[in-house]
Amino acid sequence: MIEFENIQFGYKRQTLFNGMNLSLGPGQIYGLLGLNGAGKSTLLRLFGGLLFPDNGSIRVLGYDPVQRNPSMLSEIYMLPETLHLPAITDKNFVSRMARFYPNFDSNYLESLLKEMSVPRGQVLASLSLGEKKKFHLAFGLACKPSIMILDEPTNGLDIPSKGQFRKIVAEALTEHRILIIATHQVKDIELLIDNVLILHEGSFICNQNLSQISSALRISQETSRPDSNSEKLLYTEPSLGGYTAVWADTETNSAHQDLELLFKAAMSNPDTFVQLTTGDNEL
Amino acid sequence: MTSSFSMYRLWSLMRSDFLSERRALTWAAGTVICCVLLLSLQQIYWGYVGYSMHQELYGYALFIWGIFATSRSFRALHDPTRNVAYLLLPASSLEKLLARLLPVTVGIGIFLPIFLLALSAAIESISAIIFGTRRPLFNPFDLEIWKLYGYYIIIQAPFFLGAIWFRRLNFLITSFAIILFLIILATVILITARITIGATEWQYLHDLSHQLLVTNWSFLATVLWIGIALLPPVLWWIAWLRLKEVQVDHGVQ
Repeated sequence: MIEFENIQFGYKRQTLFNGMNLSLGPGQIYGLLGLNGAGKSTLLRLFGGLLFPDNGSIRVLGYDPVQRNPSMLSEIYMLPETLHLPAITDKNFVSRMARFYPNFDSNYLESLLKEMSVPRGQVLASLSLGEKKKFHLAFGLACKPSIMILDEPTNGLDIPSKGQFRKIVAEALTEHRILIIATHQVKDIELLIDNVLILHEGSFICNQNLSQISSALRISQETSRPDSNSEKLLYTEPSLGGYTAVWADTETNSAHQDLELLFKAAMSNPDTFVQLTTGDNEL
Repeated sequence: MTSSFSMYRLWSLMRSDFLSERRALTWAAGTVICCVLLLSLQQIYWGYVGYSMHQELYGYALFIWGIFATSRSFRALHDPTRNVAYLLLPASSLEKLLARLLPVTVGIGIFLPIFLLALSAAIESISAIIFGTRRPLFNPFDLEIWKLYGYYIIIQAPFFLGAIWFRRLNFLITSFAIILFLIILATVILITARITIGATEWQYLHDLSHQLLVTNWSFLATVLWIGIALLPPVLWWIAWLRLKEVQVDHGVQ
């Protein structure tokens, strides 16, 4: 569905991706994680043909995104981090925009807006950030795209809305659809995502199922700080009553998925993490 | 219907743009109405009753309104909060280009004469009732009107390209670029004339060019006018290429 082959991309003289390969299939929710400046937003823009690679090939739904073919664009919906909604009512917005999306389902939009308690009949520009995000998300899902790209979707959402977001996104997944969520708010999506993509220094140090990664790690609570030279120790941080440690351990599965700890462990030991996630566990 | 062109999508884009620009259009029309009213009152007061103000006003309205609207054509493309949505809108680059080009070329060419005819009819009717005098109505079939429209299309084209090319101050930067181009062109012509025919005075060059291009319709004049006539489609084509290759850098340098 999305294929990157040997992608090279950079801004002016700064190379961001050098020979990146990626393959994303349908029926999955991908969590795209990375530090600031790792290239998450750039990657999302490459998916949609908003940026062009310097070298290599990208295929999205069989199309070259650089061509910005209308048939491809009608199958992609992106919820950007910075939102702009015009100074018109929701009804006018739908009347103008829905006609570009052949699969648009107005009944579904109505049910989503009702479920998310988005105020109706108001000028969209006057809505709060959270309400704008919810409206955009509902509209995007009602377009029934094959690829839904969400850039920091939970920013600005209140606590109940975050729960609604998770429920709606989980329900929106079909076997023909890809959902890609780029975020720093890992706690908001850790119960939602199937696959974790961690972008670091221009390449993926992790592109794997979350449960598979968790099975290769063990998280423990320690009363004293573990020796930093301990074998298989990936990461440690102070916590209530002692320390939380993340270990590379394929034998003792903690059955505990903590995406934030996983991400921190990946960032503190990228090379070891790559070995773990690629199946090379000879540490 | 093909993947790169669909009348339905083009119509949908133009409809959406029209609804977005409805307020600006109302303001522009209102400004023209106010200007015509004020000028009419002034002219009636001074007794210029035989003078066709409406005919002359067409040129001002066409160039000021048209060029200004043209320069604003691609604001969504340069606005970091809107460019992602604009580029991801499921329509081809050709449709997006035509949706912005047609209103400021064909649209204004049809709308403005009808608008001015209706406006002049309304104003002159009021004038006849109140002051007992009326001036000629705007005549959209006057050849001069269509000549002006032709000049407008030629001058509009670089501003259309400038609207897509430059990120901000499109009108000013395009105007500056045109002036710079003309200065360079004049310099090149002057130097060429100096070298080839030994011309040292502007007056001589002026007389010569007038003779070549106006008095004695020559092959050179034909070539020049064909070149000028081809300028708009060439610049629109470049604008289309530019729209196809434009990217969103979201501020990362």
